[in-house]
Amino acid sequence: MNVFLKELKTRRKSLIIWSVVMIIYLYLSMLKFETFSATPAVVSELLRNFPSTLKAVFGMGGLDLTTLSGYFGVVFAYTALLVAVFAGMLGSRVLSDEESDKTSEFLYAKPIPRSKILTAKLSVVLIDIVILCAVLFAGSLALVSKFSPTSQDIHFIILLNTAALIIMLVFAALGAAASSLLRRAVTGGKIIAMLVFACFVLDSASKLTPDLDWMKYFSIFSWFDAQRILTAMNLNMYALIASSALVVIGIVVTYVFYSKKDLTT
Amino acid sequence: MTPAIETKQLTKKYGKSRGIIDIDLQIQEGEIFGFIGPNGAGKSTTIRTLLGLLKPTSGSATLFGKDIVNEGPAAREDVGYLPSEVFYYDNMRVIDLLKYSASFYKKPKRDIEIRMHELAKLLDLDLTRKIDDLSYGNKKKVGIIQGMQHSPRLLILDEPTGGLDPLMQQTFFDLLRQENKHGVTILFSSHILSEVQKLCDRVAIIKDGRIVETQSIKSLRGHNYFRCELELAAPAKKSIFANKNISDFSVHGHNIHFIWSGDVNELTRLLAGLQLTDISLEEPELEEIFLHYYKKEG
Repeated sequence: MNVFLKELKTRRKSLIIWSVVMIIYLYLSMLKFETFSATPAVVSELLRNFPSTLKAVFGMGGLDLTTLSGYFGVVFAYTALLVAVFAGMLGSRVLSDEESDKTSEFLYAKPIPRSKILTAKLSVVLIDIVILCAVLFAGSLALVSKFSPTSQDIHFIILLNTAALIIMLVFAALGAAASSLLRRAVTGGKIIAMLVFACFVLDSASKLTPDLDWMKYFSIFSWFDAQRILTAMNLNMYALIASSALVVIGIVVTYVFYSKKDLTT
Repeated sequence: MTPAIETKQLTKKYGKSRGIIDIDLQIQEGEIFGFIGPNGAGKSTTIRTLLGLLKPTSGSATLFGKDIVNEGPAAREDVGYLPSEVFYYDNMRVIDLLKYSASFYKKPKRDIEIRMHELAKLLDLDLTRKIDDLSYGNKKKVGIIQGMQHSPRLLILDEPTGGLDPLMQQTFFDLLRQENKHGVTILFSSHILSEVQKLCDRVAIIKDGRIVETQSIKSLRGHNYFRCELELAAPAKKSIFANKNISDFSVHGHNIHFIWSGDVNELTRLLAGLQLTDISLEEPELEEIFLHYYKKEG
């Protein structure tokens, strides 16, 4: 419990900052929707003349920006990217911070098994992710409420938030695994940040031309593509299975390697 | 009686660094055991392996009979550790850090806290300050309290005196002697021999990752070693001094200096063949004996 509480306190500030930033981002994004929804004909006309590649790059390929769900889908693509960075860094840093602050020598010399330290730290990761997701969800609902959402819109927002939660869990597990696997745990954070952006680029590229369509299989952002979710009104089963597998693999790797990891000096 | 520390061919190899090879140690409960060797010889690696910070490549070790790998947490329950360089959570206050440290042990928290305040008073450390604001010497004091407040039966101290002023060192040594009187076993690693000489009963010398010798302080400084200064009547052939027992050999004109380690009769036989105008044989300092181990193979 002691390690858990200590870690919770260590991560508190960053969680608060991220929560505030995400709310501000959603708020500013939804401000623009006010204009969009007020003049749908103009926006539609404008977007029709937009090059389709450009639309693909900005993640608004098949989504109708003049509808609440369509607009929110585009906004949420970036939200998912941001929270993926948060989760990946969190998963990596709960393990690497003690190493770079050199406090791991203090901690590992205590009469506590590494596995217990890890469980405490990963619990904090899970709690922080759930909190950020709850903030996102509450924020999303509050911000769309003034545009009189239909029950369909609300259902869509729930699905997107669930997707964001899963994406966060995947990157957090991979971040923790990277940090426990690498001799210098700090490198784990950098690798995860690169992985997040690589996934984002693959997702965008896959929408550019049919030639690059295959790229969607390699990006978790494509697995949980907003347009597909909006059409199907569910989360793809294969995406759920693959994500769960990644989380399990990440956690197993973390436990195996963290437990026998040597102190780095 | 179960030894406080026992290692059997304990080996740790990692990366490019040498690590430790086949370390065999047996430290009895109640001993103050010195562990000497220069930086990079493997002192810290040995200690860190004992504490589970590093996983041994091969061999085994126990603390009070508990295996360091399979029963790591139980083995560490009765251990206090002071690392050579102390790093703590900068944004914590000293008292919070010490309470956090105490929370890992099974001993009653009240007893630990009482001891914490006693030690803080003795070492003159203000517990309300932030770790971040402390000087290196004061951080070291935090380390000492952190290592001793739960009254462990075994203290493992890695180069503990760095950063402490001479007066504080004295206080610290007195404290260690007092603990030892109450039965606490101490493993004291150092590259400063006078400290080890002052405090320890027995000493192990480590070189290039291997234990070169384990002796009582007395026998290490005993009759097997001589610092020899000779003044010759006539220059002698260097080959006369090509002897496996001679080290640290130097010639300045007619004056010859070396360290002898071995049978004293062999030394007198060698000297008998020389024309001397002066001779001085002295018991060397531990430091010189120590150097001898490092130069022998160099």
